[in-house]
Amino acid sequence: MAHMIIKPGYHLKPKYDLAGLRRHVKGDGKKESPVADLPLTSMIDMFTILVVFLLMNFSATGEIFFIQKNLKLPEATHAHPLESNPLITVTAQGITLETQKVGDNPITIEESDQNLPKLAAALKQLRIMEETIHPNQPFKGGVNIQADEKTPLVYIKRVMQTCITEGWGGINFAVRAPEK
Amino acid sequence: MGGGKKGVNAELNLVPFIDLLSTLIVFLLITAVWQQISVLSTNSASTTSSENAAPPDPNKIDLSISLLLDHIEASEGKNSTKIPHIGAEPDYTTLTRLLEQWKEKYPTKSDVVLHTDSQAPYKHLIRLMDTLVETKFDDVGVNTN
Repeated sequence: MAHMIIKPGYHLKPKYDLAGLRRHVKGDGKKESPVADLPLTSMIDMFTILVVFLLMNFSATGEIFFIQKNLKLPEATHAHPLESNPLITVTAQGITLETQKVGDNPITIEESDQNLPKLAAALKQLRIMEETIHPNQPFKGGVNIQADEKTPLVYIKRVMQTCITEGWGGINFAVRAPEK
Repeated sequence: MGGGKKGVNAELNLVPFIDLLSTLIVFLLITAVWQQISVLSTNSASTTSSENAAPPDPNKIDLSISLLLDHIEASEGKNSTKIPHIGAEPDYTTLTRLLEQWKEKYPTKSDVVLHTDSQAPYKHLIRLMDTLVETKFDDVGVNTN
């Protein structure tokens, strides 16, 4: 009677019993090393691609240019690299030279109203400073202007007028490269 | 004498290589410039205001472009060509064609004066300057009056 009772195996049908897998899970008697090998090839591949991409975007000019967040520069394809010059920003809120506010932009503006006395005074001071720092070099008078692409030209022209009057004739307009 | 053969495959030490790459990536990410800014320059000699405008030379052919609200007027001495805007945008294709004709006629000339309407948007001035530079008229002067 005792021979009639058979202890069931892992599965009811022995053909479904994955004996090999069970042996592998149990460890099969051999000890595996606890240190797993990290596959480094894919990581180095990714690093190399990232380095190449970042190197392609790298700018070695060293110029720092502060763009205001609410300002969209116009696009131009045939522009040349930025030079280090005083930066004039023209926005709806006003005119700033570097970080100093030097003028307001009223909503309506008369064409005859070209006076920007604060900007003129600041440019004059800047010129004196530049001529004092570089006494043996001729004054170049380069200035960078940045403005939103939708700004009416009357606001830009009066800034240009003031710059020219104060001897800052090298006017450069900041533009961005077109999106690819 | 040994006698045992050594394996020919040497294992490359990747740790310094990964260190270098990581440092390089961090440096490049910090110094990355995502928006490329460049400049379009005006010719200071022909950028004029009412006070310091140069006297006109009778023998010289002056090339000038006037950007108005509904059209562009291209003047070659006393002759002028009117190029109407397409929609609200200036017709740059026709203008480029005209500028190429000017370049063929005056190959050594590279100065053009821009006159602009005060209410025209700034992007039109920039696009106009860009078109002029494209057609080898590099000395662009802007009339600020």
